[in-house]
Amino acid sequence: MMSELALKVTGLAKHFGGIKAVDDIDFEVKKGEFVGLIGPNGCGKSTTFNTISGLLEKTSGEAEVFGNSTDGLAPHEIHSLGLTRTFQHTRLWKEMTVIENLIIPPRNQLGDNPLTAILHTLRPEHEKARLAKAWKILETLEITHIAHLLAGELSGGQSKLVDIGRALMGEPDLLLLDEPVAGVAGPLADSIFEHLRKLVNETGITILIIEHNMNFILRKGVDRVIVMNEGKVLMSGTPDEVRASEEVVKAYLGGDGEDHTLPEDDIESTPTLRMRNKRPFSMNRGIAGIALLLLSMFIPNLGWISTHGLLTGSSDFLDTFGAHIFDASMGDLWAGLHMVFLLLFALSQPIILYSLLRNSWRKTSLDDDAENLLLMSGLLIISGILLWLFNDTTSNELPFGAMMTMAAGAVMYLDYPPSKGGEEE
Amino acid sequence: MDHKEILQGIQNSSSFQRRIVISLLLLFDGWLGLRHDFGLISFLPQMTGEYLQLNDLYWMAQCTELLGAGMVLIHTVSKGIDGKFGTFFRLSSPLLIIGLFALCIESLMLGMGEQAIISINIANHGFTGLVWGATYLAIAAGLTLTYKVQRYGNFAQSEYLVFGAYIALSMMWSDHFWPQVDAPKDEVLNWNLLLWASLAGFLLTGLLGALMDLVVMRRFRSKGASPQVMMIASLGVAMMLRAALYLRYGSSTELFVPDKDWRLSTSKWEIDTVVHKFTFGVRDSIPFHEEAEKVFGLAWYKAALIIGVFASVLALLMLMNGTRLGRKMRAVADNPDLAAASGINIERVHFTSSFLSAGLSGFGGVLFAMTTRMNPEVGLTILLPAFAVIVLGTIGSVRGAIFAALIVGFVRSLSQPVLVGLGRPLDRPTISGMDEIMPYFFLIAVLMLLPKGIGDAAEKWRIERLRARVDSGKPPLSDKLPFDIHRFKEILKRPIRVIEGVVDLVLIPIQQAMTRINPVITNLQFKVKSTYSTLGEKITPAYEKLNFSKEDSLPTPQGTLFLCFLLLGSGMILTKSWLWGLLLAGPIIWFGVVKVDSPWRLKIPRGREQAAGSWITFVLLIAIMLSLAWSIPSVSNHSKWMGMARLVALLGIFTILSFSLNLHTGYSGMTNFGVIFFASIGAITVGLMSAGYGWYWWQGLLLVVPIALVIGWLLAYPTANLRMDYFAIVTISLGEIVRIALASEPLLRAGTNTSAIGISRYELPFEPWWDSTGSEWFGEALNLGKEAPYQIVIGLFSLFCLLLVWGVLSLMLRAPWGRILRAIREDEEVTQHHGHNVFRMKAGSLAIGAVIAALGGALWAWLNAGIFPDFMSPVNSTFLIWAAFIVGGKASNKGMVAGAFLVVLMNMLFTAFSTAQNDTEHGLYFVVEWLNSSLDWVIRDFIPDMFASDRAIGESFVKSEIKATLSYVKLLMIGFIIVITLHLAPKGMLPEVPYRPEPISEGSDDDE
Repeated sequence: MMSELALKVTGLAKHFGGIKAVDDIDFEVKKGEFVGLIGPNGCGKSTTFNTISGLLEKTSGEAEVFGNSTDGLAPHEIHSLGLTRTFQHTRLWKEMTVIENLIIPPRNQLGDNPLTAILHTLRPEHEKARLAKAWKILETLEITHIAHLLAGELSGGQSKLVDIGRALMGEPDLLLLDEPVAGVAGPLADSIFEHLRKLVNETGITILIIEHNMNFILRKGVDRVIVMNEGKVLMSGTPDEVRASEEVVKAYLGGDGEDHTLPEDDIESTPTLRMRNKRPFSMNRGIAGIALLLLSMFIPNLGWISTHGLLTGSSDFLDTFGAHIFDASMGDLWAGLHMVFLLLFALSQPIILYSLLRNSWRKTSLDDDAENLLLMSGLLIISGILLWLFNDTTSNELPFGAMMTMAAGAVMYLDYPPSKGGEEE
Repeated sequence: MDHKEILQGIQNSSSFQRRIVISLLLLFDGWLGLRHDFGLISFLPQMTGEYLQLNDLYWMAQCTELLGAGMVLIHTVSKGIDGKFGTFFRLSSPLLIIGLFALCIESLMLGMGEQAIISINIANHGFTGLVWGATYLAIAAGLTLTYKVQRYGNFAQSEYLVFGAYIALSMMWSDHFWPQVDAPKDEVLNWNLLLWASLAGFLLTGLLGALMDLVVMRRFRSKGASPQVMMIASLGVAMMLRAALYLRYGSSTELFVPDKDWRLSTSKWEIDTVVHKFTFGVRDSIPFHEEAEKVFGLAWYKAALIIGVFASVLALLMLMNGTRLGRKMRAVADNPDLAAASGINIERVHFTSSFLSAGLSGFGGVLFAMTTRMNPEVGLTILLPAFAVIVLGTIGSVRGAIFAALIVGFVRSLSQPVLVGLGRPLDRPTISGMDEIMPYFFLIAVLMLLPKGIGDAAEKWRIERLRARVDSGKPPLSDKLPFDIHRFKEILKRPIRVIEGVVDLVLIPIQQAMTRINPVITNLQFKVKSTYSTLGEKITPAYEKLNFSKEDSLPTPQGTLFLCFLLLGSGMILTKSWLWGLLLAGPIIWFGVVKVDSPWRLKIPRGREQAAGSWITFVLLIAIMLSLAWSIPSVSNHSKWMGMARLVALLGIFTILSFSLNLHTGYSGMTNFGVIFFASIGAITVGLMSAGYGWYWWQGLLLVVPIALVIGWLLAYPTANLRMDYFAIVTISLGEIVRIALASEPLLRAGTNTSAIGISRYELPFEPWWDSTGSEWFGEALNLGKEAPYQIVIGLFSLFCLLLVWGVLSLMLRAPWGRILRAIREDEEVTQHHGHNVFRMKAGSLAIGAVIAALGGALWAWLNAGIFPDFMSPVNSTFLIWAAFIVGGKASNKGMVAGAFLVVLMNMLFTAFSTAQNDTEHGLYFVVEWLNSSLDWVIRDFIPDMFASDRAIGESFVKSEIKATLSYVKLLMIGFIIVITLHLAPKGMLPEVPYRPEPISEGSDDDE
C-alpha cells in the first residue's frame, strides 16, 4: 500500500483559449470509495475527466493516480496506472461484435504485437480465459443475448451497458464513469447502480461517477458527492450534506427536488411505407378493360397469339429468336432486347387478365391492374420507338397490340372528371 | 517503484533539453561529415570493414542528417518557447530553414571542392511561381470548396480542368471558329474564341460537376456515407472521366491557340529585372553575391492564366463572404442538419457548390491549355500538388488555398535554379526534373510542423488576438476601420451580387427542371417495382409456403450476387450466348437478389458475414472467374498457358499488395494511397542489389525485409497523428517522389546504359534452373510443343508467396493484435483509453504492411524484368489495388483475393481484346467491333456537332477512323466497378466476418 488515495487532483485547470472550462480545482478520492461528481451542464465535469485521463493536455495543476503523477503521460500510460474511463457519448467499436468489444481491453494480452501474434494460436487458453470472463460480465449485466450483435446495431441503453462491461474487462482499480445511465431505462439504471455498489464493496475498486441528474445520484447510495459549478468545485460531502446545501440548490437553478426525467430508450423508428388510396371497384371500367385487353391479345402478330406460337414452337418468331441466340451483332442486340420485352409483355398479358378477372369477381380495386397494363404496354412502346430510332435495318413496326393494351389500361385508370381517389396519403 | 519514478523523471523533465542536445550534436556531426569528411557516417566504411562502398550515399545521408537535425531543432525550439520571443522565432523560422539549406549546400560544396552557381531571376522565377500557383489554384479552389461544403476530397477535380481544356480545344477545331484560329498573323489579338471558350468551359464543366453530384455523390450523401467512401467514389468517377477523355481525344498533346497572334514572339510584356547570382562552395575571389540587369518577357497567355484564375478565385471568395448564397454554403458546411432545419434547401446548395467548383476548374483549364500542351494525363500531375496546396492551406479554407498555392508555386519555381545550380557539381544534369516533387517535400515538412496546415494556425492566431483584444477592453478591430473602407467593401460586393443573380437565373430553372423530372423518375421506378412485385406475387402464391425461416434470417446483401451474375452474364456474352445470359440472369438477379420482399430472395442468416457463407461465396466467385479466365480464347496452347501463368503471377502480386492495403486501411484505418510506394521499396531494392551489386535474388529479398520494416516504422512518426485525408495525401506524395526520383536520380539506375533510365537486367528467381531443366520439363508436361515460358515459375512462386502471406497474416490478425488494430480503426481515442499504445500499434501495422507490399513489389519487378518510372504510376497500380480492395471488402483477406482476381481478370480480358482488335477471325472480335461502333456513334452522333467536327476527330484519331483504345475502356470499367460496388455493396463482395465465438461458461476464473 503506497497511498490511501486513489485520485488526488490539485490545482487542476484547463483553459480553451480564454474560456476557463476547469478552473483550479482540488479534490481527492480515497481507495474503495464510490464517489459522484455532479453539476449542471457545462460546468466542466467531462473536461475534468478528459484532463485526468490524458485526452486533453492540462493547462496547469496536477492529477495523481494512486500516488503517481500523470504529467506528460499518454492515455494508455495513465491507463496502466489502473485508471479506466468511459465517455459521455458512448463510443463502442461499432463494426465489431459486442463480445469482441469486451475482449479487447485487457492490457498485455499474449499476441498484442506482431511477433507474438503468430504464436497466439498455439496458446488458445488465453483467449478462452478472456472469453469466459467476458461472458461472465455479460451475464451479470444481463445482456448475453446481444453478444453476437455488432456494437453499431445496439440501442442507446444497451450501448451504455456494454461500455460499462468493457471498462470492467480491463480490471481497473479506479473507474471513471461519465454518465453511465443516461438513456438507460429506470429499473435497469437502478440495477446498474446496485451492481456498481456491489462491485465497490466486494472488489474494493474505486469509482468516480459523473451524473448530471443530482436527485437521482443522491438516492443511489454513493459514499460522497463532489459538486462542480462553472469550472470550480462548489462543495464535497455526503449526499445528505449536499442535499442540505443552499449553494448547491441555487447552482441547479432552483433544483426543487423534482426528478429530471430520464429519457426513454430510443424507439427505433420503423420506416412507414407510403400507401396509396385505391379507388373502389367500378364495373364499367372492369368490363371495358377486360374487353380491350382481350381484343389486344387477339390482334394478329403481337400479343397472346404470337406468343402462343412461340411457346408451341411453330413460328418465324422462334426461328429469328433462335438465330439471335447463336449469332449476335450490334444490330441484333436491339432486336434481342426488343424481343425480351415482347416476351415479357405477352406473358404478362394473361396474368394481368387473370388478376383483372379475379378483382372483378371480388369487387376490389382495379387500380393495380390498370397501372400494370399501362406500364407494360408503355415499356413495350418505348422499346419499339427505341428500336425504330436506333435500328433502321430491320423492319419493326410499332407494336399496335401494345397500344391497344395501353388503351385498356387508360380506360380503367383515367377519371373524367378526376376524382380525389388517386391522391397519395 | 523508485526506478519507475526516476525513469519518469528523466522522461518528463528533460525531453526538451534532450532533444535540443541530440539535434545539435547531429547537426554538428552532419556538418563535419560534409565539410571535412569526418564523423559518424564517414566512419561507416571503416566500421564495416570497407565492405560498404556507398559513394554518393555518404553526402546524401550527411545532408539528410544535417537538414533533419536542423528541422528538429527549429521545431523543438519553436514549440518549447512561449511569449514574444517564441512568436518571433516561429515567424522567422522560414528564414532559418532557408539558412539551413544554404549551410548545407555551402558545406557540401566546400567538402567536395566544387562550386555551385545559383542564379535567381526575380521576374522570371516570380512569374513562373505565379503561373504554377495559378494552375494549382485552379484545381485547389474547387477542391477546397467541395471539401468545405460536401466534406470529401474530390479526385475528379483535375478531370474537370482537363475537361474544360478539351472543350476549348474542341471549340478551336470546330468549323465555326477554325477560320479565325487559322487566319494569318496580323498582330491583333482575336478575343472571340477565348471568351466563348471561357464561358463554355465554365458552364459546361460546371454542369458536368453538378451532374456528377446529382447522379453519383447525392446517392452516397443520402445514405450518410463517410468522407472516405465519397473520396473513393470520386476516385472511381475520376477514372471514368479520365478514360472517357482518353477514348475521345487520345493521348496526343494539344495546345489551345485561340488566335495565332497569342503565340507571336512580340505578344509579351517586357519587364526589367535583376538576376541575383549566388556562388556556393569554392569561390576563388568570386564574390558570394552578384547582380545583373536583364529584361524578362512575360507572355500574354501566361498573364491571362494568372489574372484569370486569381480573379475568378477572388470572385469566389467574395461570393462566399459577401452574399446570401455564400452564407448558405457556409451554413451547410458548418452543420447541414441545422441548415436544413432553418429553411435552406441543402440539395440546392450542394448543386450550386459543385457547379461552381467544377466550373472554376473548367475555366482554369481553358486558360491552362493555352500555356501547356494538354493530354488527359496532365490532370493527375496537377491534382496531387493541388491536394498538397489545400492541405497546406487547411482544408476548407479558400483564403488559405490562395496563400498556399502561391507558396507552393514559388517553392517550385525557386527550387528550379537551385537544382540547376547543383546539377553540375553533383554530376546530376537531370536533377532539375526534381522540381516537380518539391511541393511534396514542402508539404511533408509543413505537416510535421503544423499538423493542421497553415490556415488553421492563422485562424487560431487570429482568434487568440481577438480574444486578447476583448480581454484587454479595446474595441474590436473592425470598429476602428475608417468609414470609407466599409463603403468601399460594399461597392466591391455589388458586382458579386449581380453575378449571384445571374447564377441564380441559370441555376434555378435547372434546379426546377430537375425537381420536376425527379418525381417522374421516382414514380416510374415505383411503377416498375410495383408491377414486378405484383407479377411475382401473382405467379408464386405457392412458393411462399416454402419460405421457411422467414423471421430469423436476414437477406443476403446484394453486391456479391449482383457481381456473380454480372460475371455470369459476361461469360455468356463471351460464349456468344448473351441472349441466354440476359434471359437467365435478368430475372434471377431481380427476384433472387434485388427485390427486397421477393420470396425467392436468397436468405441465409447473416449471409456472407459469417464464416461458411463467406467461404461459399469465395469459392463460387473464384470458380466462376477461373472458368471465365480459362474460356478466354487464345491462339495456341503455349500462349494460353503463358496467359494463365501471367494471370496467376499478377493475381499473386495484386493480392499481396491488396493484403498490405487491407492491413493499413481495412484493419488499421489509415487511408493509404501509396501502396506503390511500399511496393517500390521491394522492387527497387531487389533490382538495384542484383543489377548494381551482383547479389543473388534471394539475398536482395532478404534485405528487403529490414529495409521495409524500418521505413514503415519510421513513417509512423510523422504520420501517426494525421487525419485520414492528410495521411492519404502524404502516402500518395511519397509514391510520386519515388516516381520522379526514378526518372532523374542516377543512384536509382542499374543494369542499363548509364544514360538510360530505370533498373533492368537483374537476376530473376530460379532463372538458371529454369533455363537448364525446368522449362523443357514443364513444356513436355503441359504438352506445349516447345519450352515453357518463364512466367510459369514466377506464377508458381507468387502463388506460393500469396498463400504464405495469407496464412501468416491471418494467424496474426486472428490474434489480439489484429483485433486491437480494428479497434483503432473504429475509434483511436477509446482504444488508447483502454490501455493500448496506439502509436506502436499503428507503426507495427505500417511496418508489417510495408514488408508485405515490398514482397509484392519485388515479385512484380521480377515479372516485369525491368523497373521504369512508369512502374510507379498510380493509375496502373495503386488505383487498381484500391479497386480490388473496394470490390473485395475491407478487413477481409478472402475479399482481397477475390477482388484482385477480378482486377487481374479484367486485365487479361482486355489483353485478349487488344489481340482481337487486329484479327477479324478472333473469337472476341465482335466485342471489339461493338466497342468501336458504339464509340463511333457516341462521337459522331451523340455529342453535339459543335464539338465533333471532322477536324476534331481527325486530330484525335488516325485517318479519322474511330477506334476504342482498350486500356482506357478497362480504366472506364474499373472506375465503374468501384462506384457501383460502393453504391450497391458498400462492404464489398466478401465483407468482414465479425468474430462470434460460442458462449463459454465452464472454467471461468474467479475475479470476485
